[in-house]
Amino acid sequence: MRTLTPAIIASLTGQQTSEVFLMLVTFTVPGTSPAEILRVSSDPTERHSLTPLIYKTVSRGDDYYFIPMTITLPNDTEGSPSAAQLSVSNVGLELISLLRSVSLPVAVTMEIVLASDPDTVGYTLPTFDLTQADWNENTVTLTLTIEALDREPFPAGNFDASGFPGLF
Amino acid sequence: MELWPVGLPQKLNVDGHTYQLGDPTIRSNPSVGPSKIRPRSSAIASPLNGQMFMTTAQVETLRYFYQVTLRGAEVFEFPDPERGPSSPDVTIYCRFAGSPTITATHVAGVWSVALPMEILP
Repeated sequence: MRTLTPAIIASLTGQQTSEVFLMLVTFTVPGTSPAEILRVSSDPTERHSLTPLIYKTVSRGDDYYFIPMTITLPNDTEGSPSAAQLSVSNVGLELISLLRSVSLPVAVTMEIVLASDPDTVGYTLPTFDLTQADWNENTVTLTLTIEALDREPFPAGNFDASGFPGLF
Repeated sequence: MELWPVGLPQKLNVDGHTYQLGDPTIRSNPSVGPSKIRPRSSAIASPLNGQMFMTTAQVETLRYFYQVTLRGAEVFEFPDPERGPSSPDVTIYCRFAGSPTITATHVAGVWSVALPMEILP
């Protein structure tokens, strides 16, 4: 069960609300120093500049630049794969250089906040790995997965004294 | 920031002038009872459509402004249609929502130009 802030619960359960839900997405490229980070927001909370026209959301002192996107969150069903789909508008080509430059899976963090209080994170999804990226001139479709721990090569399968004392 | 060219008309014609407040909300559509409603976005563009009569030279100025200066995409400052006599220099930030349509009139050398624009938040 997801734990949400009281403000989000009140907004979700009311007949109407003036709150705008938005998603803050942080892409972190592994192995870069300093860390190469791209922060994007699903909401044009405030205008950053007119030329070029850029909107952004400021959360905890960081600028998250607005890119239209739709998100399919992983469901809560037990046993289902923890995969999310992120469809980002590709009209601005913001993601293409990042996607073409990386050779390791990019870490993706998604947070849900309210536009009226972007500093308070209502819900944080676990960090995903970007495992597939498809794009055309209109849309970038990203598949995000959480690495399955039961498929890790270490330490499963090691015959050591702690797991198999009868061998020693 | 580009400005609406001085050589073009500074006001829209009364005929065909429509201004719509952008709707930022999403509503449910229940079979019974009131709908639920919430805003989807903090900011949204508002459509502004209008027409102007232009001479052939002014149409050429508009063509250069739209295709070369703005490349159809950049933001420009447009005289606020709601400005009053006490504030004649008030402008709004606009962008073309589509390409202008130029229509012939019954007067030689005068064209009717439809301008689909959007006012940016």
